[in-house]
Amino acid sequence: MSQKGVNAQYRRTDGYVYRLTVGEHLLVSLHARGEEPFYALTPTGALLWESLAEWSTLDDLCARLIGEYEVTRDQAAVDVMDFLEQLESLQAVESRQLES
Amino acid sequence: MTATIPKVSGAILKKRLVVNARQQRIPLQADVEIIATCNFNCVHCYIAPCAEREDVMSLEQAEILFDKLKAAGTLMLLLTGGEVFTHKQFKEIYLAAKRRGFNVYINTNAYLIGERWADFLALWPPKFMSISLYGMTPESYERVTGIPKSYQRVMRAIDLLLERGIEFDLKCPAMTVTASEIPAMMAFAKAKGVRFRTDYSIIPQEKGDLAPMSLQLGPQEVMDLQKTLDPGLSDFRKYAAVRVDDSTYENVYKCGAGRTTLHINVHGGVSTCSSSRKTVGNLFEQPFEEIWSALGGKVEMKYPVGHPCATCKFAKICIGCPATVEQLTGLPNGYVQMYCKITHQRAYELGYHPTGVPRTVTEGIPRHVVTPGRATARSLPILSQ
Ligand code: SF4
Ligand code: SF4
Repeated sequence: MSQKGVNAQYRRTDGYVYRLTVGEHLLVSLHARGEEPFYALTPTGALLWESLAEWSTLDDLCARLIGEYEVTRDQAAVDVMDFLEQLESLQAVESRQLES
Repeated sequence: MTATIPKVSGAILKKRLVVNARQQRIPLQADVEIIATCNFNCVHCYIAPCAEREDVMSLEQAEILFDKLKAAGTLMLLLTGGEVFTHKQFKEIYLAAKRRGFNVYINTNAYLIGERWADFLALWPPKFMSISLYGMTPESYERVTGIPKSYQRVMRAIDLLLERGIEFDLKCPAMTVTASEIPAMMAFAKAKGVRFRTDYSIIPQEKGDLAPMSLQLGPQEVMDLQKTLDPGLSDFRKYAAVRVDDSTYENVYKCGAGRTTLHINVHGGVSTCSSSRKTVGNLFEQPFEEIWSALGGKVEMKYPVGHPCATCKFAKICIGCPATVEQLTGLPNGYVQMYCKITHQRAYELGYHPTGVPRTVTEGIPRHVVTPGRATARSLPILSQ
């Protein structure tokens, strides 16, 4: 887990809108061009996306997963970090460092 | 449990959405007419000549509609008119749609798209735009649109959009006044790297005026044009090869109309698609479920016994469809011999039919099958040739 991960807070940007339609959790881009400007999330991804409405730490996000699914803290942390990296590559999430 | 964004391409995801929406009968795609008036006076138009100044959907009405569509599962939303860029609140309506997470499509004649609109669209890109084209010279353009400088303005808009990487295609109805320039339009689109579409059926005005029908091309003219656009009919041959078969049909509607798509007019009236003006209810007055169920009932319509289309090999390549047949006969399961002749002529050219003459010409049309009324029939080119 990167230092940035432990000491940071994350929040979703306003470049995407979440939709649940035809059984798919979709992130629809407001500014992207091209083929299909949307991505599918897993249900767990959708849960984290909901949490990311507010500034959240890695701990907050892991706690959300642990509260809903049977998963260890370590598993949850790996998952959350992967997800945040994916969101960052889409510019769907922003982060800020916490005072240490 | 994994919290990921699965690596499926957008195209595959879209296919999955369409297949599942069809199975679950979810209105994945909606066309919303936000204004019926237009800044062009096109000779073939079926809507704007009937429109009054008050035929405009307000921002508030559009938002109510968008909320209902979003709740019903709509993802693809087409904003259409009339001419949408003449709507005084187009920007607000467009952003209201985008912010609700629709993939927004736009139909436009592009006349009003200058630098400012092009920059706005670059920042808030539509999923896709469809631009109507009406000729390749200022004179021919104005002959269709009736508006000075329409050609120059549209050409400029096309370049502005291309410079900004906004995706669009160009389309033009093939009719007596455009047919000779359709090949040049196609070449123009190709040179610009965009897709060009044409179609061959003209429909009467919304309130029944048959004037546009005089522009309809007859079977031989359709064939001649198609051969120019598609030498040796090679593309059409490929298209037809997987569609001409011995299927028989009980159901009149074979498309997604009323199953995954719907059309909403400027007053909230809901029909199967933009080619159908017969509404089944009003979304400003009724709950969505009530209207969606009425539409579902409509598209379950069956052919009457002995209807020529129910046992037709060429049904899947037919130039007519339930909506255009409804426009001309009053019923989606009516029969329009003009469409039949054009389609058989095409089948003949491909070697699928021995003569190109439909059997209704030799054997007659069953009496119980509804055909165009006398006035409509008189306006169709096939009867005046
Ligand atoms: S125009 Fe015809 S084929 Fe297209 S959706 Fe409407 S009824 Fe179906
Ligand atoms: S109109 Fe003629 S060609 Fe078209 S589906 Fe009916 S019978 Fe076939």
